[in-house]
Amino acid sequence: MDPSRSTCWTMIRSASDGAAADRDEFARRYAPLIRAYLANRWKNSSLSAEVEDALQEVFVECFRNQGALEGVAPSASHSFRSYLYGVVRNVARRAEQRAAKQRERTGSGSTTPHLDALPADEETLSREFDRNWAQSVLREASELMRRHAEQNGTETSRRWDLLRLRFQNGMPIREIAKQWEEDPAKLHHDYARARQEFKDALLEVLAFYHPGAPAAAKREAEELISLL
Amino acid sequence: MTEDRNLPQDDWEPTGFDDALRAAFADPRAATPPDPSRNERDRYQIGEELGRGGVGVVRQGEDLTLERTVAVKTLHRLHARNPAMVQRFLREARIGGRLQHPGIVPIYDMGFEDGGEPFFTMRLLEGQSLAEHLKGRRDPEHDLSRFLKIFEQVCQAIAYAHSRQVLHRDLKPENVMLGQFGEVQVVDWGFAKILTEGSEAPGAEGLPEVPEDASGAVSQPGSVMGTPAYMSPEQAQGKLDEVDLRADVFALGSMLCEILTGSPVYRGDSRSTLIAATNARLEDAWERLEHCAADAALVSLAQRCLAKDPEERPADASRVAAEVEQYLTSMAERTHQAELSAAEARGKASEEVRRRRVTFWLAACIVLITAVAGTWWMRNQRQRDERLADARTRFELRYQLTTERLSAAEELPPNNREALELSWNEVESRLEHTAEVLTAHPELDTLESRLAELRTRMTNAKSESLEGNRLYTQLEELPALWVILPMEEVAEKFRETFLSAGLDFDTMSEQALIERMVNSRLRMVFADAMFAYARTEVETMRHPNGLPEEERTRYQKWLRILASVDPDPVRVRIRAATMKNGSRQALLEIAQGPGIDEFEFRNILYLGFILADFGELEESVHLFRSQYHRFSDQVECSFQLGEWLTRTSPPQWEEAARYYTAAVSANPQDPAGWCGLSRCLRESGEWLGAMNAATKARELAPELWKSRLENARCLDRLGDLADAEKLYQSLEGDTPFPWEVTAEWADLQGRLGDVVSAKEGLKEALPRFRDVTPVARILEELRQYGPPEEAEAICERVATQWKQPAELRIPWARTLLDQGRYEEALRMFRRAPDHPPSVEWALHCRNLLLAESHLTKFRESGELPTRLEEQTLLAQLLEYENDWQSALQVWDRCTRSPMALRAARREGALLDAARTALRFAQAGDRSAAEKWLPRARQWVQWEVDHLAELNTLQASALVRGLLRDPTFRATRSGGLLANGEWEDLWERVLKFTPSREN
Repeated sequence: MDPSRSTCWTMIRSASDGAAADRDEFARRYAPLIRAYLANRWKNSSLSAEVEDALQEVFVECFRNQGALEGVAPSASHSFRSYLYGVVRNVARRAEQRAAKQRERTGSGSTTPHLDALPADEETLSREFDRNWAQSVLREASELMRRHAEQNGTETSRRWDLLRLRFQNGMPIREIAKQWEEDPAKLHHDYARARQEFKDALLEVLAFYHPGAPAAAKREAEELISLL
Repeated sequence: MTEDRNLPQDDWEPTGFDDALRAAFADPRAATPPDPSRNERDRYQIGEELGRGGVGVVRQGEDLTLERTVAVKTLHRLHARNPAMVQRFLREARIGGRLQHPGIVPIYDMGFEDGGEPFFTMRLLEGQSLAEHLKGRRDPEHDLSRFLKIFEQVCQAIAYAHSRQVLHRDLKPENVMLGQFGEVQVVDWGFAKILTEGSEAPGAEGLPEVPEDASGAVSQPGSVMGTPAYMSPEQAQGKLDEVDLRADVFALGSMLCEILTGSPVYRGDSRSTLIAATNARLEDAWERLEHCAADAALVSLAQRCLAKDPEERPADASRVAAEVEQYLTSMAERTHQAELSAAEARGKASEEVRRRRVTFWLAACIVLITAVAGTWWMRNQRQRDERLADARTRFELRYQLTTERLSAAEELPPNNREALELSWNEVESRLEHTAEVLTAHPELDTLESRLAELRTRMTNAKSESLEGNRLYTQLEELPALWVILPMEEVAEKFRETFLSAGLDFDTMSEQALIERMVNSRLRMVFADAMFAYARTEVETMRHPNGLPEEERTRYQKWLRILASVDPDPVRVRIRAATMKNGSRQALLEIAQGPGIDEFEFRNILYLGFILADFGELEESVHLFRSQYHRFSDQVECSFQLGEWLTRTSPPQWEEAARYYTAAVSANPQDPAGWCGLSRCLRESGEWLGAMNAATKARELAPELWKSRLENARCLDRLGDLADAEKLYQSLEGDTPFPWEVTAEWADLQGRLGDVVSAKEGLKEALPRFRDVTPVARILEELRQYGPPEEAEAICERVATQWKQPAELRIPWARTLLDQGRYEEALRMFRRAPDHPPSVEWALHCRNLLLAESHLTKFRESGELPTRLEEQTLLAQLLEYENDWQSALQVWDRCTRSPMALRAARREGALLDAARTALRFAQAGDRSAAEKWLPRARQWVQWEVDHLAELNTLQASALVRGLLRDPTFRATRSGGLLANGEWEDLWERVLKFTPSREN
């Protein structure tokens, strides 16, 4: 995370002002999330071929002058997730309306109805979006922790690796200690510290999205985990 | 985060933190396709594209190793990073790879492209789909045996898949390919599912299971996949946990139905097919099957496959295959037997000829004739019995269907005339259809009496139902007249309508009235209408704080009757509240009371209407908003909330549009919903959207007054004045116009040049109104049409009748202003100090008085005041005095430099200048028109060019001002002022849509 940049809002505003690096950063962070939402919304639909176009439309909507960003006041209380979800959903609906109009115009006369006509289950999609969002933020926290660990030397890197083995490979601490030929008690101590370091990384990531008091970031962390 | 941090900083740890860690450290590669470990892709040389779907692309390919042509299906690049899609794609390949059957397209190989996109290769099929072959038939009887053989092969292939616990879930003729050499293969297993262990279809062999995606993306509960025209009810309803082998059996039934009748089980446009599939509307298919020329055995098989209840269908495709096979075999045997019989008969005849023994000839003949006659008689008798049994079965089936439809029609609510007529026509047609059986078989005369009974029942029920609709329509519309007609007239109309239903409230006893209503199908319609009638009679709405004693006794009688007709305790309580002292407060207490969340929807609606009648519209809106989460699936809840939001002060157009949208989404056949939506969009400045909604309403109900009115309004707004005029004309005479429609129509007539009709219409409408606001609006319209002296006289007369309320002094004072009588106008304005427009106009009037000094100087020396504001006032003053030429000279000088133009635009003076120029041009001076028309356009153009600089509210106000101003609208209607450049300008104005984000 670039330390010179304080929040997601400044990033998106800078992207909106034309900064190429910020645009790339915005796309890197959110394109997979938006793509997953659209693909999920349009699965089994002819619109699935429109996912990439709709993704571009979301970016255009976020960056254009007097676009969706103009309607929101960046603050600790305003959820960037809600904002982004709102934009993505509106773009998706517009695409669906366009497709419906197109079908009406072409009027193929087929007796077989189009499954695109089925209404989207907004609640499920919203939950899925939130879950993906939560996963993406948590992965970002893990990545941030890894970067910090690389800068700080072997010990911290080992702690990152400890968490990875524990949660990615599902190995108990005792087994890791055996594999690393370490004292299990010391490793338990490192494990506690690694958890704390991950919490710090998570709060740092969340501060990017929710500028404000640390207590607010903690509340947001709790809410984020509840989305999983 | 530093190395020297020794211990955890604080104890805070969110709940589920371990889950968070698991998600954070999940292996990202698990969600993406594996990297290609071997170079499978190089084995194939890719050729032309053969087809493309939502998931993948099929191309022709050359297998360089085995030197054969294959079809290569690749996942779309855009899905390659979507684990769910990748899983599904791989699943299709794996399922296909494991099903080895001549009727299932074989999968040869699978792998990954260089970019990571998965692909698989399969046998290249050259031929057409079954769907294309079916389309090519002359009629369903054409080549039936060939299609039955194909169908049998499809059944065999699916039976094999079922034996491996694999469900196809998207069976349809498009997914059956017929090769050039007669091979039949089922393709597209993208939606296929492997049943888990322990489910039905015993005897499944060990097909290695493809694991379900943990996210549920492969087979998500609640999602619908497949093609509705072939979809089983459980599949269409999204109950995927209930979908089993019998869903494929249903699809096979639909295919058989298409082979036998020409159409699958559900037909129609996409929406109706989907609805039919979801609701399992099978009657149409059964009827078609019953009338098709196919043998009864096939019809019976198709009907069993298409049973709504899966339990009644054949257990799996093998049973269907066995029956089709048996049918085809028996058909072949029958043909073979017939040929054998014919050959045998020929042989016997030859023998007989050879014998030619005269002594036995006669005896042989007699024996033969007797035998033949006996056989013929017995065969004939048996056939007759079979025919009669068959006819009786057909009669019973048709009789049952007719009775079902009749019962359904009897239960239909009386509110939808079109639905009622359709239902009764259908019942009649079915009845005739049933009667045909008896006509063709007079032997079944014992059934005649049952048919006659059914006919009598239908005739009575139909007549009562349509009469109910007539009464319903009349009674429903009457409360709407409260705002148009005097209460006495509305009450009289209620009385007449009730009389026509045999209910005389003046002469009949309470008991007789109750019995008549309670025993009628229209009981609840009567109850609601009677309550409206009661309130009309005693005008409860005029006594919101309680009824006077003499009215109270009358009203109590009505409520007693109502308590018997509609004894629901909540409604009894609501009705009782309307009689109490402080009835408005009593109603509010019910609406805000703790039990409101227990009210059923009908009672919420009831209370909402009564609150609205008692002037508590905001409370009705609040009530519906607070209950919307409970009743959002009720179309009427969305519709009514939309309706009320358009009547609040100020109207909530955008929110109302949302509720109307919900209403028309749930019931797209309701023209009233489309009308409401059109109105909201029109008021929000979305003209084209409004026109689309109005057109939809008119398509659904061409004669509906509201839909015609909405179309007229939209056409007017879009500049199609001639068509708008025709529609307004068609509306006249149907029902008294509400005041706003009267004003609109007169306005349009005025713009079309028919000022006389416009004024007449407005004058005629004036005395009809009971509210001062529309009267003020009409006086203002009349003032604009002039002459000012006549307008002044009308204003004076009407204002005196209304005891000179402040609102009516405004148009009156303006008529004085129009005549240059500024001081009198100012006095008139000052007599209405509490009314906001009077202050505004009084200031304006005072400024004009001040500007008079500048006027003298200007006339003497041509000198202009220095400030733009004063220049503007001077120009307006000159205009009031009809000195157009001078006014325009001032405007011209005011706007000569770019800086002055900008200042004038800020002051909103440019449109005033343009208006003056247009009026001058309209006054009939040709040279003035030539000179000032382009200038006026330039001024308007300047405003429109800078719309983007304004905020949304300012821009919307400017556009609305332009569209509503009669002077500007004249430039849209052609004639003397026609100019191509104006059209471009109007096009830009009409295209302007305020940005919602702002």
